[in-house]
Amino acid sequence: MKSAERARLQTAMIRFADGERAAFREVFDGLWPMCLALATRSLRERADAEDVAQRSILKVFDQIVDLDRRRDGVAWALTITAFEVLTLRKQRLRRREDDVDIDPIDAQPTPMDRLAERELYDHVRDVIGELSERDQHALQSMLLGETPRGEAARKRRFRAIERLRAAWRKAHG
Amino acid sequence: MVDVEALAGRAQRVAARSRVRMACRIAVVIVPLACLSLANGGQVGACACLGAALFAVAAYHRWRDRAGVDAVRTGLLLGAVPLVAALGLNACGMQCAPGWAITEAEVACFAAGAIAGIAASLLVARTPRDRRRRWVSTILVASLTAALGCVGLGAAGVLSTLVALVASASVVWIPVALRAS
Repeated sequence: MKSAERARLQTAMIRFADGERAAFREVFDGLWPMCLALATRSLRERADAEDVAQRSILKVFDQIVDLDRRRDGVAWALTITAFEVLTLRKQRLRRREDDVDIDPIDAQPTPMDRLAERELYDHVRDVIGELSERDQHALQSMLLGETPRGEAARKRRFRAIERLRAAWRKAHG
Repeated sequence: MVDVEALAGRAQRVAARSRVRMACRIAVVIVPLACLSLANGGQVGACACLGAALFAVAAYHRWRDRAGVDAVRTGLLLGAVPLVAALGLNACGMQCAPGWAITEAEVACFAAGAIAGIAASLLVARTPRDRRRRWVSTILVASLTAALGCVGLGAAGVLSTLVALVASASVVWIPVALRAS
């Protein structure tokens, strides 16, 4: 979006927030494609992206009367969309976890699942292998279900998990 | 596929509801003011009527536009001057005399109303646009707030405050209006 268009949209948002009802269409037509584009870029499924964009545009209009005129209104609207994207991702993740807990029969692994699981273990092993010996030891004791003895061991385990997370993110995004 | 027109309609309705909600939030200020007036010796009926009228006027102006939001804020702040004066008078045990007799309480109410009126006109005269409408809204809200505050002192207190507020505001406003026209 060009800066002139963005400035015009910002002005329209302020006008609408100030009570000029006629500015609604300009604000909606300016914000909707941006929210949809951000959601589409962030989510794989088109349907999810549309749901998120709709939720976020409704939220924007729900809060627009309290718009802070000194701040960038477009950035504020996009932040709401980004937050909705994150919320959907979290919900999906939680639902997956819940499904595993609730329905163990459906969770019987198929050969494809087993293959994927093995690949996952291999990746985890590779990443753990890149860590220092001390971290590897701490993680190993955790996987064996041992309780850490003392505050130092607990902290070491915590740091090892953090480093594992960072290494995983670096390797697999 | 998203029905953009339907979504726009929903968004418009959501925005309208949100505006009403924002306008009604002023109750957070008006309800304690009415309770304060009640505690200051005002009659329940009078306090409820004035409180309801103040809420209706304030909510309407806030709902309408940003100028209304500013006018309500200024009106409530300046209307609080006679309200505080009435609280002080009541705390000192002073009441307005029945009938048309002028006592210290009436004089104090008159002075507080005059201060609020002059300040309201001076503040509104500084605003860049919609001055006339802002002035009317501010004076209306300030008058109702002042009346709510002085209701505990009696009818003479309310009357003297309102007369002083509107008269002083008008006197200060006339040169501003003449200069603008």
